[in-house]
Amino acid sequence: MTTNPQRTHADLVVIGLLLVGVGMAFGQWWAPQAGPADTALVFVGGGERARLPLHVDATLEVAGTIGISRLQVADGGIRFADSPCRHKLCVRAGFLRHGHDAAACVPNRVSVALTGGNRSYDSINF
Amino acid sequence: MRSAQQQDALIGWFAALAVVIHIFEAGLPSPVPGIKPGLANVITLVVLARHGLAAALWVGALRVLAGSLVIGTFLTPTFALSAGGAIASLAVLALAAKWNQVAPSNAQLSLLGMGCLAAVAHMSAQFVLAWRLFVPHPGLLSLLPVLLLAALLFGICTGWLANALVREAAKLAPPPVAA
Amino acid sequence: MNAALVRRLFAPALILVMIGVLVLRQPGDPELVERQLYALGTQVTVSVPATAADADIISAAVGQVGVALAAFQRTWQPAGDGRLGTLNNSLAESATAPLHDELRPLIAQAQDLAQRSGQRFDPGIAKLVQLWGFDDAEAFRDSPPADTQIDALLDQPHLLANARLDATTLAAPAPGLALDMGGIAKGTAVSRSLDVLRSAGIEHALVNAGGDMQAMGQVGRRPWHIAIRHPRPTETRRLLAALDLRDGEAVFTSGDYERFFEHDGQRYHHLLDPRTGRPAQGAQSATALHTDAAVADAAATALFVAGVEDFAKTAAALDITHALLIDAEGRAFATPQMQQRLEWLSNTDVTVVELPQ
Repeated sequence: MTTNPQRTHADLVVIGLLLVGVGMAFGQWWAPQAGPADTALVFVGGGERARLPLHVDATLEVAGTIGISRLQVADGGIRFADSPCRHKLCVRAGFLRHGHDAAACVPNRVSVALTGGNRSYDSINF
Repeated sequence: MRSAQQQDALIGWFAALAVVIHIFEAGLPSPVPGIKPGLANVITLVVLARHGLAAALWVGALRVLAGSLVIGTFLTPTFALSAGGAIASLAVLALAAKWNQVAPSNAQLSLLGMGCLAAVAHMSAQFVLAWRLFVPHPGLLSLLPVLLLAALLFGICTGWLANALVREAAKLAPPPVAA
Repeated sequence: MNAALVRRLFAPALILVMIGVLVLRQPGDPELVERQLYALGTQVTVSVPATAADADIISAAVGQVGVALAAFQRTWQPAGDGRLGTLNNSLAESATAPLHDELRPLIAQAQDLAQRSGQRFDPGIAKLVQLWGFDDAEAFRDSPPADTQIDALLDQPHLLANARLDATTLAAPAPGLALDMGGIAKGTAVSRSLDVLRSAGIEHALVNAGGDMQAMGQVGRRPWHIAIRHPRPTETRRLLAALDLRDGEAVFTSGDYERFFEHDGQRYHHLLDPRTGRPAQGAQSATALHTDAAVADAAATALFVAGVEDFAKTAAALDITHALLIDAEGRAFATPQMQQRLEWLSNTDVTVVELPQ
């Protein structure tokens, strides 16, 4: 028995079929996991300062290295409402709502990260 | 024709080589758990091409056994995964080798196609085992497409590499069983 | 691999992958159209994938569901002059009463489940439910009834399991039996609702009645994806586990948080143990999955009353392979098949309980 060490047409057919299979697997099972998040983690200087549930509207003021950053939780999201930085990039990031979303006021060393990110559900049993 | 002793020694050498690669790979950091190049399969493929199916099966089986003994995962869940993957990929290789015996010459597979089939079979079996036995978590299923794509890409690499090695080896020494 | 080969392989490969993805993604994940109505003393939500029917058809069908549920409720009201009310009135006078054809199938099924569950579920407790005040959401008691009152009712017939059913009559051992189908009728109601939707041409829907539900078909290409609420929710931990519901499957949960009052620091909830006449102890919630929603409904109640000790025995007796129990300490107990289906969303200590053969 010999096996030809040269690529053959059959190889390409096999690779093509396997690729179609992989593509089908993506269609069937690939689910980007970033659904609506349920909790915001607030960090100051890298340490966790607060945990905010996103379904309860609230505002939180945290003292960073150059002043006070004001965070607002509303409609299941969180945003920097104000921050003592010059460019206000954090404020312009707007509302964060999905798992793994994050925003930071780097000059003030304040950052926010969202966790939870579960898919939403068709119905709730209780 | 080689003697049985020579054949055993050959299998031993190739298995040892595969074990070394296997251990080397086990030490590599992996960005995603479950994704590994599977370079040791290159050896299995080369042996398949040059020394036939039986020798390749031996090398594959010895590699898993000896490799797990050396790394210390023998009879652990990791070993079950490794063995399951190896059994599936060797079974697919055996089928592909049978196919080459009966197929017309223009429909024969080279190590490239075989390597891809083996890699995908290896990954599929490992995934099913991991999912059924260890973490029956529906969320894991969404990882499967990524794992399969990685397996296919690595399969192309190992298959191509095996083809190249066999071509180079043929320049040095003619294939021993091709008579 | 040489560069020319890479170039030649790359484009076809990419195209093939994209075709594969597109072919299977095409139907997408449809939006759900949701309609709400109030029936059976609770909020009923009907969800239909937008791809399964036009919004007008869904609205009209949900209207029909409302009509059907209102009629169903009249039939099964334990008091008054509906069919069940009439039966209960007759049973108050005499041990044997005529049984209407409309009542018979569900009462026969309830009796079978009552017997198999060892009376952990039994609809014969209507008078006890009334004594505890759990029959009227507006008028809960604020303290438990006197033991003498409870014991007096336990001396009367209070178990459907002990009654005799024949083609046209129901015979209790003595006068005084009264049925409250609360622990099973919601299951039937939910599957009737799906029947109504199906006859309106809707093949994919989920009906959720006060937290208990049954699924029909699926959502686009995927099963119905639902979550079970945590029996002791906190702000950050609202859900216990997620679960995919396949065509025809019903999930029912009985929990001590649904209807209860507190007195002297103790919680008195609506899940009465028919054998003691008092709220069952030892569980926070019990969940059962079954393709017969009435069985799932009764089993959730029976498993709650059973508690950890009799969980496996009771599940097996009711042919329930998928069940979950949260005990009074918040520990989870699941059958092997249920554990396989659950995706835990809370850090829960789970014990897998094998069922006896």
